[in-house]
Amino acid sequence: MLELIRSGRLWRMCVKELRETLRDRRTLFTLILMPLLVYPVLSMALQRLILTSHQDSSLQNYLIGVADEADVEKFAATILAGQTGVTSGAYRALHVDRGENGRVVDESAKPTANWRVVVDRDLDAQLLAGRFDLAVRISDTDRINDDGPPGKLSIDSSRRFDVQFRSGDSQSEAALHAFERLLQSINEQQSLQLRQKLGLTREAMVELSATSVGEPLSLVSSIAAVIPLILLLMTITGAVYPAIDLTAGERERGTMEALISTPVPRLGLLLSKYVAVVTVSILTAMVNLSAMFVTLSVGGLGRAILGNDGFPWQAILQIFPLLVLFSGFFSSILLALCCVARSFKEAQAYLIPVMLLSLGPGVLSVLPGVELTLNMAVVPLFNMILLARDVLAGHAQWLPALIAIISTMIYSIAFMAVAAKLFGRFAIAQSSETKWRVFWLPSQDRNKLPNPGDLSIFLALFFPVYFVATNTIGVAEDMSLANRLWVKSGLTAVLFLMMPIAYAWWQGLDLARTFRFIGDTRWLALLPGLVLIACGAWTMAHEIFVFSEWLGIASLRTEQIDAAKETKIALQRLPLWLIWLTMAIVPAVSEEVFFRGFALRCLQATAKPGIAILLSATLFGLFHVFAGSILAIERFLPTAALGCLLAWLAWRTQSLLPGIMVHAGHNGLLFTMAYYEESLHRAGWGVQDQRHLPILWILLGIAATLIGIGYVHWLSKSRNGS
Amino acid sequence: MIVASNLTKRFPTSEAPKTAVDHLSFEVHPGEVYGLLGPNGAGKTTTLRVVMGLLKPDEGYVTVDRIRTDTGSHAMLAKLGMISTNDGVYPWLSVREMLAYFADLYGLPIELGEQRIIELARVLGIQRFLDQRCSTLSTGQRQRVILARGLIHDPPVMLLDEPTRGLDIVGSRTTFEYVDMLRSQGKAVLISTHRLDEAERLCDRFGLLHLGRMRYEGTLPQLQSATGKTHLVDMFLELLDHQNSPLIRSVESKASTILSTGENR
Repeated sequence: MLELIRSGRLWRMCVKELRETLRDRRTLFTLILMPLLVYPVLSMALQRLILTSHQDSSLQNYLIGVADEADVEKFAATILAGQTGVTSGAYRALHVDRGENGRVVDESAKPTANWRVVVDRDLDAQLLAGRFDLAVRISDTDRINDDGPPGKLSIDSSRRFDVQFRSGDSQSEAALHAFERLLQSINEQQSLQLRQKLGLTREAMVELSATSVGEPLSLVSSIAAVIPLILLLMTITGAVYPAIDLTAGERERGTMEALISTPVPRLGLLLSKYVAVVTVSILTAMVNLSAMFVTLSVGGLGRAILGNDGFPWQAILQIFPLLVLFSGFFSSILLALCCVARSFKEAQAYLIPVMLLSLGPGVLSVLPGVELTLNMAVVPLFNMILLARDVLAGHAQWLPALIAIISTMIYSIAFMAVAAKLFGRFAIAQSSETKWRVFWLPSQDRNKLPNPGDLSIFLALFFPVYFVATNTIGVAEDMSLANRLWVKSGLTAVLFLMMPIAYAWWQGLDLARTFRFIGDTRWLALLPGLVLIACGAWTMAHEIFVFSEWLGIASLRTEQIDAAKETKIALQRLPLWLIWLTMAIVPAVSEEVFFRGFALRCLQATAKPGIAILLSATLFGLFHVFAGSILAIERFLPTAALGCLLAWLAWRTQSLLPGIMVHAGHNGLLFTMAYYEESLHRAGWGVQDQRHLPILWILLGIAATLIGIGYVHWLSKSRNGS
Repeated sequence: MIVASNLTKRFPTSEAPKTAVDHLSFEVHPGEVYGLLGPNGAGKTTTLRVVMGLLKPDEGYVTVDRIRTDTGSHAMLAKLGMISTNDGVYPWLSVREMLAYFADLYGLPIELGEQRIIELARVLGIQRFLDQRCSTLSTGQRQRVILARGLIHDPPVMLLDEPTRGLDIVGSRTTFEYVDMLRSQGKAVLISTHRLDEAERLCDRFGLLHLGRMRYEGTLPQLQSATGKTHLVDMFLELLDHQNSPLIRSVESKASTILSTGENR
């Protein structure tokens, strides 16, 4: 692979894939034409929706048909009566507009509806024809007081409205409901006047007072939440066609065999295709983002949806990297799926369900109340859409954002590793049945060793489980400390010990050579050196921790540090053997199996030992930074340093046992010292109030570690003869 | 150059695994054209794919220039060139771009790659459409471009899978001429075909396959003296006659069809 990159061949391969893809008119259609068409059309639809929603809540026009001029007067008088007597704001705002004759309005009130009245003899036919919303026939009965202006409604009068509306017509039915409310208000007004006449001073028999809480959820805010979803979905549409064409298309046009017969690593071939797919996807994202920006800015829709500032151009800069990340993620999924397919048709059959499935979390994630919590941050697709939404709204939180970005990157790499495993594997005709059986069943070839691709796939399966599990235990506050220790160590064993072994078995890896449980090391002879390392290493780890804090690499808050101190005191009430078992031995065995067994072996497949050791130590350090919902960046350097030492031991001795002993000894020693902290302090060995250890301790620790390392180096060297 | 030893390949099916190649052994030497002959389903293409390293054998092995093909060694792949009837081209690339791409994949320096393209274009008569998009090529032109692609890195071993299927007389003649040229250049050529008449004209030695097994191997005179038949088709039917089973009889009937039509239907 390195040779491919160094010689520039990988670059030329990427150029070829891009050239081929961009010359295809179908790609150009998805890339340019789709966004140019979709956003204006969407914009028009949204504008219509928003206008309707605004009309519903503020000013609605209703056209009323009446039989003669007298009814016009009566209707206008009724509307006026309704607005003067009603206490509710909604009715006070009623207007009357009598055609071209001008409005009868109360200008001091906020309008909520306009009533226009037209005279037509043929009411039924015109209503059916949709000329007006309601046909109203008015008849007065039992009129006692005939004074005043024509049509005026008085407390002594009774007026009947026979209203006709178009069934199923939302506008007509809305007019009816508004008119019902209006008449109801007149009756309420009459009731109030009668009560006053009768001298009743008490309030009404029943009274309702409703108060709203929280932010009102408007249609507009829902639309704003949908924007990232639309952008992401449009972005992946750009990746679909190239992904199919560059994988299943190779098979269909008969170029696959020629391609995989060349002396180029499959990962290299796939990487060039990945670059092409991601590039097209990113180009699609750019075109989409620009089209959306222009549509929202020019049409004024942006201000309607997103407030007075409209679609801020800074948001483009923030969302674009997320779209790039998302393009990378989805392109890897598409490529992995398309690598299984042998034709366009088959690839489409695989992709359509995936696209539909991805709509599910996409739609769910825009529902109100769905937040980007730490657990949600590891859920693929959800995390990106929620993060994009929060970024657009300007209230993204950095820890969930970081988790979302890291997990998405892990998933992308893992899917690429899966794709690299599958690319060309099905180039040779196999039936669908046997193809899937080959894919899912454990491999029959039991002599393989893992590679970085296996590590990526494993991490993608492992990371969300690990994160959610540790986070869940972290918030289970009602659990006793002893139980918590048991659960945590059990979980550590399942995650770090059993999962890698199960994965290795499933993939048909050579378990003995992968994990090097015992190796050929006579560990008893190494014991003095290992004891020295275990006794000395913790002093250096502690000083590196203090150094990290001094550098300002610290994220633990005071209350979290206080909680840790309380836990330390609580631990002193538990038996020491329990602490050793759950916090020293089980983590040591489990973590060594994963980090120095599986991960180191995977990395060693392609990297030199020194690089592999550093990378596995970095992984070890990173995993200790995320402790459930707590982010402890200051733990990275000391843990990574310890990881280097343990990985070197595993590599040097070709066995996990020495590392397990040092790891368990190191942890056990630390917790034992914490356990007997007060006794040690009384004996003059305490370091309670000091940040740094006494210089003598540090020197002794360094000396012990170096001697231990030298001893192990010498013993394994003389034994290996290297 | 090519050594296949006890080669066996089985494919999983929903019932029992199907044996496509059954303990097959043969050798192909430099400057020799070896024909793997047999009806459809005889195991010819599977054998070629194992030789290419695209499939791993369940038993036995194949070496190319003493390198085992199941190791996926890049050094071994660089020594091989394969041309198949099912091969296609990149429709949106020009012929020159596609050939340059494969030259690059085989690790040829850019200048050398360009030289090879000009050389092959002259030999195969594809100069006229070097800068045409591959999607505009006729079947015969495409076949010549595919030949050029297989030879772009000048491999010492060539594998040809049904090289004349779908070609007209002119196209077939081009292929024959090219195989002759490969022989004269000292390359080891392994051809799989069910066109026995063509094989007679092309190959130095033959391996007659049926149901994955090598039924007979040798030069044409060796086969003639062993069977008393003049033509390969007759020999093949004679050999099949010895396998007195309904399945063999159906293959025989198929072989007769091939004989009468010269094409597999």
